[in-house]
Amino acid sequence: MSDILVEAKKVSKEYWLYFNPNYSLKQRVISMFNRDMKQRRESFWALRDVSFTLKRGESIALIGHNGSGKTTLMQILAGIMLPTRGRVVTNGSIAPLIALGVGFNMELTGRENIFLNASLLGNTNQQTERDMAEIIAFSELGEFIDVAVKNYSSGMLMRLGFSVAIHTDPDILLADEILAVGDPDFQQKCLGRVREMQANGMSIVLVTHSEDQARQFCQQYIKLDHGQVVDQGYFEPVSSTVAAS
Amino acid sequence: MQSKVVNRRAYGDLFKNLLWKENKLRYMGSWLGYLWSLLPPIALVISFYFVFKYILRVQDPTFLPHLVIGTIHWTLFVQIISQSAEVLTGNAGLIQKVYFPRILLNLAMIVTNLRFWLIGFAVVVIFLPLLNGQISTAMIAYPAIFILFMMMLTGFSLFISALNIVFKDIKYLLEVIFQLWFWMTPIVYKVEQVPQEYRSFFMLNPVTPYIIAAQDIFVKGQFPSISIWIPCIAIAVIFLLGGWYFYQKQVPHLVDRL
Repeated sequence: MSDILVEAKKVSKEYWLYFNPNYSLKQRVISMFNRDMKQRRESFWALRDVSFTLKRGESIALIGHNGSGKTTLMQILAGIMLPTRGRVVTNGSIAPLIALGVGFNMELTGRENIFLNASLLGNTNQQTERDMAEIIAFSELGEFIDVAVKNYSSGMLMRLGFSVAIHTDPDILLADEILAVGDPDFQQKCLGRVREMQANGMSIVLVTHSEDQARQFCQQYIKLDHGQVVDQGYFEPVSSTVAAS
Repeated sequence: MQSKVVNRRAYGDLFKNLLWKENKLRYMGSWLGYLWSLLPPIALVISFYFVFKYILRVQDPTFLPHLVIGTIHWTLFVQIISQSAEVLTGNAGLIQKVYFPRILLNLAMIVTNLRFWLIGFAVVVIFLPLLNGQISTAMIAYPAIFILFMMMLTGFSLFISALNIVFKDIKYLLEVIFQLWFWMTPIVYKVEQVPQEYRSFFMLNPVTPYIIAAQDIFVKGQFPSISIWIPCIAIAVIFLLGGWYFYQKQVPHLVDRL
């Protein structure tokens, strides 16, 4: 097994902004006859030449304001989107925590949704069954687990989604600003669990706009602004003692 | 480390879970739910029987089974293809948030439709003697015809799903096309009734060979002739490969265009 978990080389992503978008066949036909309806497009680069190497057990923070390209980079790392240029090689299982409870169906019970959600995150049903008791216990949902999730509060939904995601035992956790959910007590529990998983060798790619949070969980960082890397490197070693505490 | 390898192979379970979800949601998983899928074909058989036997009094004794067999196969075609348009775009929430082979969504949709359709089709086969259809040894050819039909349908379904990434109004276009297409297919009439000069044009319809083959088997009790098998096989292969190729070309750009 290679020591390098993620290798991103000059990753760039170009988006097209469409004016009068021809997303429908009807519009395309109309635009052939009506020049005002003609589609125009402008390109912009959501990411430009982002490179980094993430070693096993190391975590990296993507820091930047809204629209800096953090989430785009995340989606590329998760394999959801292809980069326009450059390439990403990942080596290990990835749990994308871009949103909690992906694929939750409101009509199904919590337990049923655990199977669905966990398999979307790459778990086999056998693994899910094995971890079921733990997932339910962590979510603190108790007997609500066998109730349709449409009856859950938003807090309950987030607790369940979070609990499934952290129990998929990934090599890399891609977290889009989500490291903890729920009330302060539950949040502490989430953060504790994330630290524990990091101590067991899990890496995190953390999207955040808080440098404090980045320092707490990551050794490496990339600061992005409008898709450009403005700063990149390792935090002062003091951060690692905080992470280990 | 071995569990990680298993992780990557978990798509089989994802597929199973997607199928299970569709099944559960359709009839809330009740066993009685399957009974519900018996009703549309029964209603179809009864209404056709009544209208064409007692009101229109069609003289041709093969008309009724011809119509029923044609209609039920056409129904499967329309169901799957019209749902194909939105099976990817309708799951945008999923597709933008997590990676998995997108084709699982297509396949789960197809298998779900198939599962309920087969139950309905079994009912039609039971009613066949009443409709003056044939239960015969020619029926052994049907599974092969059906598999070829499904290959064609799957390829076409992939094509439509991928086309809907490029043009988002395919669904509405399809509604119109299906109207015309239905009457271009020998369901209400027979191919022999089409004037000779137009007949080769009608045979260009990719659905036609499968419908004719099914009608040969269940209406005439005949093994489909080689001139039917050849287009059935050719269209199945061409559609499946073509649809797959187009799908694979378009699907990487799916998230960019949602």
